[in-house]
Amino acid sequence: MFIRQEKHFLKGKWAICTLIVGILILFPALTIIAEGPPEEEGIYEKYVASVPQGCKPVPRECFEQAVAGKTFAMYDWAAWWPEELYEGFSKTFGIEIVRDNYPDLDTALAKFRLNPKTPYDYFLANPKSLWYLKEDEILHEVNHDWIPNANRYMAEDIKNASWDPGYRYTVLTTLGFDAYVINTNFIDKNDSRIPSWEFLFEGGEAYQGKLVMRNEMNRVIGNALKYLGYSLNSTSEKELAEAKKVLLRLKPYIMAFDSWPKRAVLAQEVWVVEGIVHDYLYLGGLIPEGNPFFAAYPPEGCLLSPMLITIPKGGGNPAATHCFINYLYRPENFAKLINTTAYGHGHTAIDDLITEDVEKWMTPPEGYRKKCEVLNTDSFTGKGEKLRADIWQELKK
Amino acid sequence: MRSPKKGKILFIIIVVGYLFLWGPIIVLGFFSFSSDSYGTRWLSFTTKWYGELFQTSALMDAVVRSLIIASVTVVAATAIGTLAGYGLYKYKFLGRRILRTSILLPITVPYIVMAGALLVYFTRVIHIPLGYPAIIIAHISFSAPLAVFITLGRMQRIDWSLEEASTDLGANRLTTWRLITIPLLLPAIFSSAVLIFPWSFNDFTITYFVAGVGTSTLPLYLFSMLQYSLKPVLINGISLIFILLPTIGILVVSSLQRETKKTR
Repeated sequence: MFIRQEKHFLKGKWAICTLIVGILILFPALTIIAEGPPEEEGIYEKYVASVPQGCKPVPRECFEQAVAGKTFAMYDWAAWWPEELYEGFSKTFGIEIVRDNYPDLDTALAKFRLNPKTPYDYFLANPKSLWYLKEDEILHEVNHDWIPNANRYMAEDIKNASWDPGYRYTVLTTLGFDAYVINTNFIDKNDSRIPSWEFLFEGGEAYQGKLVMRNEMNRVIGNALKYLGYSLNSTSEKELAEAKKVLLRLKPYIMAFDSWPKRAVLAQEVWVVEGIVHDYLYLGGLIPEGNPFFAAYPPEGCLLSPMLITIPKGGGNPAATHCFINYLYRPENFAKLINTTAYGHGHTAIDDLITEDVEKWMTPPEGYRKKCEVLNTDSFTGKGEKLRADIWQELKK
Repeated sequence: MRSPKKGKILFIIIVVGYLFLWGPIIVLGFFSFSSDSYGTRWLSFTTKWYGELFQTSALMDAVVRSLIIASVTVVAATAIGTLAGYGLYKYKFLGRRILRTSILLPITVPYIVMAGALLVYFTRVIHIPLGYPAIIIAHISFSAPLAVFITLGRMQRIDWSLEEASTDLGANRLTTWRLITIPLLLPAIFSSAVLIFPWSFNDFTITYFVAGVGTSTLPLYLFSMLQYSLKPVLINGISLIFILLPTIGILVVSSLQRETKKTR
């Protein structure tokens, strides 16, 4: 009997406890339902407050979609851009970045074309891959309302660049000039032919076969066409035949066609290297005796290699890509990118933030960009590609 | 009796042969201790790259992913390959010869063709999510045939009367398999595992195509790093570690085997 009473007593006690705990849990839960989660409240406002002066935040809709997505899948080069850009973005938006890296852009393009649903929110592309991705309809258009900083700070000529007029599918990050670099320990930079292409294509005796060209057909043939004063996208059989003649004449002086020539350049086994000149500023800094490299910007013009942010449709969080673009285009962030890579750019508000070394290295002569060209479909599809492939085959025999 | 002159020539040939094989590894290891961040010249002795190696989180993540994938592949591919080899040797059935030959296909087909085919197959036919499942299945598909052939080679040298004796003495199939067959196949199983691990760990082409978001392995990371990194010497360090680890493993196992033989 006593036990029973005790049980009853306990039951009553438990009932009261349960009721109190229930109220304690239920009350805040009801508050959350009524007013929304308290910790969510103010996140956007906090982000807006953290935006530096002169910059604009992404709209609330973009921010909320990006944050709800939780992760941001990026597909780009490894160990190139400063890590603090990615870390800063994650911290600012509370979005986890998952990064994968490709070995080269042609291989990355093959992956997208074989599987159009490749699930990346961000793909750092070049004009060639952009053309194919657009053809295959696997890119989202950029929502310009969501990237106010890019709208504000991107140079007008870049907004209407030939690779993507109106920057519908892409946002420019870096601009590479594909010219040549000489090692002044072995080559007199006062040679009258420097910085013309004439030195590279006709100066074999000066560099005694210590020349490395990039292992990319369109670049090599394109720059030979530039030397001859033609468009690097030419499809004229006559012009390409002339370029072939120049290249075959050069062949005995070419040490190698190399996709990764930096090691040999650093070991100073190579005296002249054709490629994107920006890559050699910091490489030169690794030589203990002092940077011996000199970037030549040929007055005939050269190939321009823009790196472009694109938004593949397979990704699940395109809003995060817009947040990243807007974050990247903050002047202090863009300056970090340029100071780390020493590449050219189209940002209008970072000139004062660029270090002297980088400024000196990456800046071609005034108006130089207009002489340069970007690869277009004429050179990498149809007749243009076929003619180039024939030349390339003979060159590499 | 061999003349001393012949012995010397043989010794020189062996030294040259081994130098040819080990030369690149020795050079790579040597330059991993150079303070030159490209690892191409000797400047001064340093171990700082090894410290940086472990602090580069993207690189270490890639190492962990590669180890997970290679370990799962070793276990699964060795088991599947050994069982398939046993079946192909022991059981007579229609089409056995065709099956035995066609199992070579994943090894003989060019990797790039195999990679493209697997990607299309996974994404458009059987809808396997790209990432760990796809990578592991792909790795098993090209490494299990290796285990099959190693097992078949071993089985041809085994005295199968031991199995019959076990059955005659009253052991059931499972006991015979456990106590007789597996110990007899153990060298083949071990050899398969030792060969499959680096094959899976080093694979670039197939892994590249079937990798999903966040599953980039070490070779994929290293290839991309070559393009822009200012510290490619890290590649020397990580390569040396992954050359030394299996080498030490093999040495330990072979010394254990020697000890076991002595005890017997």
